[in-house]
Amino acid sequence: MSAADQAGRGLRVIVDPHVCLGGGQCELLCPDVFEVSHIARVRVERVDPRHADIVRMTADACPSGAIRILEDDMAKEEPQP
Amino acid sequence: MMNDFCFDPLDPVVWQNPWPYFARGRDEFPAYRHEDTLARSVSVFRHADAVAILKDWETFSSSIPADMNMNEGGLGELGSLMVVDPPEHTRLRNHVRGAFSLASVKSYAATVERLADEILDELLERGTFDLTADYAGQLTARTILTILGLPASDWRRMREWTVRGAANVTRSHFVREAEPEADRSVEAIFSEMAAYLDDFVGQADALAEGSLLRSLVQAAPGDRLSPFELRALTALTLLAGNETTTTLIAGAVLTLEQRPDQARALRAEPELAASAVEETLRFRPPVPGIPRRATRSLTLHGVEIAKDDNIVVWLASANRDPRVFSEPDRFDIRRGVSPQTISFGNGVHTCLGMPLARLEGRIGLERLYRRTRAIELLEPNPPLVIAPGVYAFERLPVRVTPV
Repeated sequence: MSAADQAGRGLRVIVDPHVCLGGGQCELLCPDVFEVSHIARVRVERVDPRHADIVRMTADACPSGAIRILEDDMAKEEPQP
Repeated sequence: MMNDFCFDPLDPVVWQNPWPYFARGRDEFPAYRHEDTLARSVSVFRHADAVAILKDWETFSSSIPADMNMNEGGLGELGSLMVVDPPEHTRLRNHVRGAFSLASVKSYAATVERLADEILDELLERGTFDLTADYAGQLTARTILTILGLPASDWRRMREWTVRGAANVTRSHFVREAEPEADRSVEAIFSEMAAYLDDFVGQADALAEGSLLRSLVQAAPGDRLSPFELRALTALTLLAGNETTTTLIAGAVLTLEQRPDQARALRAEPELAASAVEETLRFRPPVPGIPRRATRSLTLHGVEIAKDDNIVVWLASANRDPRVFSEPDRFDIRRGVSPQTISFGNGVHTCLGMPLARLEGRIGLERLYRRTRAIELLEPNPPLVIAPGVYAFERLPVRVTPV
C-alpha cells in the first residue's frame, strides 16, 4: 500500500461556511467528495483513500481557503479489510 | 546582470506577444520595478508569488489609495466589491453570493443555451460577423441582464458601456499621470448606468420574480444596501459579467482556429467545450493582470516595495509558469481543469462570476462548434484593447460555414 493510501485512511474534510465563496471549484475537481449549492458541502464522512491525493490538491487549490483536512486521527483507524 | 529588460504593459507591441516578456520576468526579474509610464508599481510573474500575494489581502490590499480621488464618479463607484477589503467586502459579497453560486448558475444553463441558439440562428444566416460583439458580447450581455431582471433587449447599450469602461477603468489603476479623459469617461459611464438603473430600482415590483436586482432592492431593511452600494454593485455585476466572458469566448475561438488540430478536435467532440474553456482560461486569461496595493513596506526578491506601491500580479504569466505547469506554452484542450490555473484570481477577491463564466464559456463554445462546419478568421491578428487589466479584442471578424 502506498504512502498516500496510508495517510488517506484517516482523512476527514471540513468546509468553513463563513469562508466558502460558493465558486464550485472543488466540485469541479472532485465531485465524489464535494458538492456545492450556495456553499460547498462535504458529501462523505471519510474520504475514500483512493481520493486522498485529489482531495489534498482540491483543498490547496480552493481559492478562498475554505477547505480544511483533518488527518490527526489516522492512527486510530482500523486497517482496511 | 545588466538590466536591459523593459516591460511596459501600456505598450501595444508587448501585447502582440507578451509571453517572452513573462518568461524572462519569471526567470530573471520575478519582482520588477517599473520605471516608465506606470505609477509606482512592481510586477510579479511567478505562480507562487501570485498566489501568496492574492491570498494575503491584509498586506496586498484591493482598496484604492485615498489620494487617487476615485470616490466621486470614478473607479470607486464602478469597482464596488473589487476595491474594498474585508469586512466591507464580505458584507457586500454576501448580498450576491447566492445568485452567482454554482447551484444558481446551474439553473441558468437552459437560458444561456436558448440565448446562444437564438443568436446563432441569426448570425449563421449572415455568415460573416464580429465574433466578439455579435456573438460572445451579445450572449454574455443578454445573460447578465436576464439574471439581474433587466430587459435583455438593452444588450447593445450594456455592451457599449462595457467596451468604454473596460479600457478606461483598468488604465486608471496603472498609469502614472492622471488621464482626465479616461476619468471623465468612467464618470460618464457611471452616471449613465446609474440613471438607467434608477428607473428599474424605482419600480422593483415590475422586475422579474426571483431576479437579482429585485431581491437586492427588496432585501429586508436590516440587510439592505445603501442606494450608492446598490448601484455600484449592480454596475459591477453588469460590466464584469460580460466583459471578461466575452473575451473568454472570443479568445477561445481565436486560439482554437489558430491551431486547426485543436479546432478539429472540438468540432469532432463538442463535449470537450468545458475542457477547452479551462485551457483557454489558463493559456489566454481574459484578465491578464490585477493590481494590489502594499499596506506596508516589504522586500520581494530583493526589490524594495514601499507602502502604497502598486503590485501588479500577472495571472497570464503565473498560468504559464513551468515551475507549475508542464509544457505551459502548449495549448491542449484535453488538458482539462487544472487546480493551479489562477485566471479567476485567488483569495477573498476570487471572481464571483467564476461558475457563470465557465457555464457561458462552455455553452457558447459548444453551440458554436456544433452548429458550424468551419470558422474562418478574417483578420489573423485582430486588434486588441490596450489596457493591462483586460486582454480584450476590438473585434474578431469571422466567416462561418453552418452545418
